[in-house]
Amino acid sequence: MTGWWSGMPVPGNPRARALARRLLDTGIAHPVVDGLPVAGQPEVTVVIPVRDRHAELARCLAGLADAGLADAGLADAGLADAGLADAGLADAGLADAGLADAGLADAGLDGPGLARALRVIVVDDGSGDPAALRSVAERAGASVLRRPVNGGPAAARNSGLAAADSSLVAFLDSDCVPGPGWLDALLPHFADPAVGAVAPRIVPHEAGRTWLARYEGASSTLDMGWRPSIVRPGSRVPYVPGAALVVRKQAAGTGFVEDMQVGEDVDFVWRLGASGWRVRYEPAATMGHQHRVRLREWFGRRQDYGTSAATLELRHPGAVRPLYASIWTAAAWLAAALGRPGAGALVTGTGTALLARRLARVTGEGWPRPAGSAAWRMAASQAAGGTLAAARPLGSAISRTWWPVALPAAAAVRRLRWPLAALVLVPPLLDWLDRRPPLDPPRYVVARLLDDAGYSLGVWQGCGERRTVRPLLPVLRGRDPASRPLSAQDVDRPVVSRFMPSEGAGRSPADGARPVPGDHPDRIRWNTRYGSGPAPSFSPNPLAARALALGLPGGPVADLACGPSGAALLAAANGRRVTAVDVSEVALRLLGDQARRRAWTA
Amino acid sequence: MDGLITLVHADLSAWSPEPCSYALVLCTGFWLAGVFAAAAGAVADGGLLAWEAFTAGARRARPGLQPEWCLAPGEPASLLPPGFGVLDQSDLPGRDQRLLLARRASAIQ
Repeated sequence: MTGWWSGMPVPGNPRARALARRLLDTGIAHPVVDGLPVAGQPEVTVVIPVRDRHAELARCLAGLADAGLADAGLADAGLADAGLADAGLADAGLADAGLADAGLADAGLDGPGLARALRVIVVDDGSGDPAALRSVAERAGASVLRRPVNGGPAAARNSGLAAADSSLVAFLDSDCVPGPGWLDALLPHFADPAVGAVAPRIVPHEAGRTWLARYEGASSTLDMGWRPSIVRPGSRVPYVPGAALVVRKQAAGTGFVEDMQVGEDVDFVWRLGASGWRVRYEPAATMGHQHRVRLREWFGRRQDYGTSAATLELRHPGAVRPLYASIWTAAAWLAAALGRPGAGALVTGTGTALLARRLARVTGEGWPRPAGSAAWRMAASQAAGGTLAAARPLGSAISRTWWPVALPAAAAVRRLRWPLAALVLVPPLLDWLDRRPPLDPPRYVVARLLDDAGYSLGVWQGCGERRTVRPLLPVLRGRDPASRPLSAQDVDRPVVSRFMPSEGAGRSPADGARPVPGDHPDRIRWNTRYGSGPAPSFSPNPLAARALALGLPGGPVADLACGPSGAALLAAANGRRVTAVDVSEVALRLLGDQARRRAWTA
Repeated sequence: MDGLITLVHADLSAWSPEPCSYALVLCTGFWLAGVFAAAAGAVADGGLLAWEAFTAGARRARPGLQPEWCLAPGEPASLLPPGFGVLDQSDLPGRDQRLLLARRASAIQ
């Protein structure tokens, strides 16, 4: 099965499939769906709940129309030349003159011979000017469902869900801006009959200039990162936002809980998971989103999110806690924070020794063994390494939940100040290193702490309203460090597993290239390398910088065996068209993601 | 930016670029003589070929490297087709790697 990690098909026998399913469900492996056929061309209904936001709705519908045009190949028919494909229909003139008159919306969304049939339902959730909203929607060929009284996003989505007669329903918020091919990487996941919902990566629609916009661009709570994942509490991606979510109608049941004004999307995907459906996060699909980047509005939204913690914790006990740690880890850090680092080290050492003794039984080594034995190495990695790594979630727990207690404690007890300050600063600084946002570390740290402060105010507010303290309490598990169940965090590598046979995954060949066979040894080797290594640095090779600085004629650049290449990015930043060729689709995906990210944050 | 980059999933040994079509053909960390020949052919008049790859000496530290993945003495400059001028070919100190920068002569001198 080692070949599975690099994209080899899983055999059809029941044991192999059961194992593959287990690997997928635990989040250790992720399905490779690139290139999988979409069975039966499923029909998709797009449901857009909206209240009054006419310009946002027009832009969202224009994005859908663009995507429809691109899918249908109508751009080749000369329609794109008319400028309509890029209309960005928020420009009212184009909206008036464009889609309705030309009938392009109908052609793009419902016309014959399309790659995919899209029906769009705009749910007017009690707009103040329903006629204006209807006009915007109908001009783009969407049908309108009117709710006379505002019921919130859950109720509006449910109205659309009930009206949809397709097998799949794509929920889009009106501040989303879909681009061409936005469904292409999502729909193949539904080839797995166990998948109930799939979410794309949400990225900023346009580059931000202010410090807050740049922070949001790199660190939005809607952006669940570049790694694919199963979605459920405790996994790398514990939830996905409902701003953009494709759902199998059969799985959706009665839909969203209507008395939840916030967090209803998290509750929805967790209920899907609890009823046996798999929910997947697919960052190869991206959805543009107009983030809130005005400070007051942004801070208020963070606070709103925080208020949902109490309701979610009551509905899904144990799922919304500030910290999950072993009692050994907690005891070690508590001792260190109280100014007793020696005692903390002793606790960690004891935990490590106990774990090594247990592991020695598994490895067949005697006890005690010298420090170089496999049992000791694994114990040191799991117990001691885990304790050190816990600094990050611990610091987050303080800044996102516990600071109303920690702050007075630090004010009253001098020796707590430095340990607490260090713990609070660790997560944002590590985040900065991970993300390398276009924002200097001091401002990034301030933005992140503000983000946490807004969220935590909401958490405490929600606890007061729901009369519960559960979202404030940590989960301390296990008599020893080995008792924690295996989770995605334990095997932190973005491995891939294809569980349906496919050939020719990747972009269309160009320059006379042929599809790369799935069992190509170099493809397997490099996919493994790029899939299991750290995030690439995207630093250009000095030779690339040197060549680009020399005089070049006009024309494109070819970057061969590019990997996740900084050279391709550098050449593109110099305005060159670049053909980047590699045998590894994992490397190409990393490069493509980074290129899109730089385009958004440039 | 991503609109400028075309990603091509291909085995380079089966990749045949359009001749004389690229202002710069760049390859670092990869060597196959056949690919080099195709790549050199893809450089436009006046364009650059930039290459960096392991030399045979790298096999001492990396026994898994196949001989055909490593540059022989004098390569890759010795394999350039007519019409190229070498701007630089030099070994990277202490790294068992060699770089080449070469320019194809312009059609109009």
